[in-house]
Amino acid sequence: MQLKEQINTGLTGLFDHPFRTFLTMLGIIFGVGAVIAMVSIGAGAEREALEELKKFGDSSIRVSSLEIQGERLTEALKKQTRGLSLGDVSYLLSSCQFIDIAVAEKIDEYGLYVLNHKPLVKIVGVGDGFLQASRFEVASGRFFSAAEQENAALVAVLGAGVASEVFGDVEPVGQTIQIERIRFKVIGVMQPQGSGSGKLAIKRRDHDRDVYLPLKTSLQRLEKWPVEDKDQYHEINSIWIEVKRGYDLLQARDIVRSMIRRRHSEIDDFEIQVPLEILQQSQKTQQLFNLVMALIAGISLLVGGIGIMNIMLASVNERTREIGVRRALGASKRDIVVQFLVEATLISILGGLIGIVAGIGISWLIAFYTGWTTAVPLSAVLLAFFVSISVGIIFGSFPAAKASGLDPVKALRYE
Amino acid sequence: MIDTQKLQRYFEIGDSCVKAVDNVDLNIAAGEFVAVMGPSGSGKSTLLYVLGAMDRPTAGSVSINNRRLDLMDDQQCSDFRNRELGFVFQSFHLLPRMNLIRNTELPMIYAQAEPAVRRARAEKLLKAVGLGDRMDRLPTELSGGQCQRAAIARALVNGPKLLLADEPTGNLDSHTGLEIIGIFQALNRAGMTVVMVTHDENMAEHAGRIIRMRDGRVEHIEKVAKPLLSKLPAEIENSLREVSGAA
Repeated sequence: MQLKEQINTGLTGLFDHPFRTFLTMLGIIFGVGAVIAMVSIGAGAEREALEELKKFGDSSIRVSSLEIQGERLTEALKKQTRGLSLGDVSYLLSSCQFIDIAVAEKIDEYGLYVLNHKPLVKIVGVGDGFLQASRFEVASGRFFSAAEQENAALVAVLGAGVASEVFGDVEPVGQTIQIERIRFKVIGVMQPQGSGSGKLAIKRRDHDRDVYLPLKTSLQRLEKWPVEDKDQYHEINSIWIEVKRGYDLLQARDIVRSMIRRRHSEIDDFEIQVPLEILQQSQKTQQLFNLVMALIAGISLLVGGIGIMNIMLASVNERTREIGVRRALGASKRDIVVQFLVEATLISILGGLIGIVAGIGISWLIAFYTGWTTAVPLSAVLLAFFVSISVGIIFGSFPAAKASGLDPVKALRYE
Repeated sequence: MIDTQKLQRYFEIGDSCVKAVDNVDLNIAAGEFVAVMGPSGSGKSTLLYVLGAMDRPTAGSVSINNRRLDLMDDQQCSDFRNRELGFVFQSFHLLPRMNLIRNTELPMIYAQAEPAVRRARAEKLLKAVGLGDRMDRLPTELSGGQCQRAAIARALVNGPKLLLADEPTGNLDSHTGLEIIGIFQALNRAGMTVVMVTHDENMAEHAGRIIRMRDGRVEHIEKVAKPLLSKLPAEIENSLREVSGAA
């Protein structure tokens, strides 16, 4: 009997009992759906990690100030350390050959006044080389010139979120804003950065709500304004460091740490983050997660397969007389094996296809309700599909063999 | 046509051995219409299944058209059942979810015939047995006689020279039963060898020879001097001759 005929016969057999066919497929649908959904979460995290890495770069180190209190603060003041400072930046630049750029960043919460708005923003003073170190880009206008940095000019560049909130459709470049009582001219607007989903361990605030000033402007012109939560200990909040190509990033991090600790009299008033390392750790965690999920999905497919076997066995029992008739009319054992295998395979193919659609749907729902990034790789779809076919063939084999082994005469007389 | 030598079919049931067919020597010539009779448990149906390559003999030999069935493997037996003989059963054994056309086509599917050829042949046979207007019906929508006629069409579809029938009139009233016997006689007149198991003396009287069995053995073989005749309308007789000839 030709395969085309076997497929026709199999399809007819399936559509003759649509409810039974659907029940048989359920296990495969859930199994494949689970595989696709789980893989989509893993792949989404992977994609997110790569995008984060693109943003942070694979050669950057971030030194951030840590708030210290109580005895540690007393000890630090006794040792006359001044927290994270511009002196640290200069020291690192002059002492470490491997550092390409080191940029200081000072973050304050001064009041911003524009027209009738008083948006909640961070006023961020940044040094020379900030664009290069941060990999941020200017959407319109420009960033600060060296002269503006040097002269503590009254110019500002707005984060994308602040610009759209305050100015709406009006072009912000050329407008005037007021920080506390000082007026600044807007010379540029940054590209939107996004705030990150928070799933990865890289700390990142919402840069779209930053208002950037030249560092000197921030330090000299705004320093006198009293702010409630102003950090009295640290001079600056962070240092963005770019390590030259060819140097080991983790070694560089250790050197930077030991140098700053020495300057801070061994007081741990700062932390160092290496985005690449965090991402690598995050990827390792993700791999473990993927492995566990693959195991769970594998178990669901196994259960699906057992479901197919059970119902196919019941089907063989129910159709014993049909098998006898087919044998009497000339079907060989092989024909009967192929007939039942084709049915099991068609069930798993149909179940697999529905499962793929369900898995993609679940993946969308997860992304919609949790805000996670999900992605359905073609390789996962193909893998799930071929695994489901294999499940059909493997678990359909036993019922098929049982059907073909029936004695034709006994099968004909079966009541 | 059919030749058996010391044919045995024994069944081991627990500690005892049931001799369903016990040292049967038979010779049936091509073109004969033979009835096999006997009480329940005499072994007549078992003999028919062995002759039909559905069951394997325990010992002895069975040849049909000089081909030894007892030496064939499963695949050869399947091919033989498919192409060389047609089976008609007491309870018709039509597949209930298939219409008559699909039921009739079934043996041709295993013979790997093309769909168009199958369809044409199945239609021709169904028309020949008087079911031209019932081809799309399911077996559950038909009477017993119509189902048995469809089963005969199915048995003839691959053009066999031998028809084996196991109590073909057992589930039918006498009038319908005679119609079926009439079809067998028409086919026999067209050259078909027919072996029919029956317990109905009247039906057996339509055959040319009667083989009487008891306890697995052939008790008596008698020639029917003047077989009864079950007349069919000339139109059906001609159609059957044509489809049988086409086979």
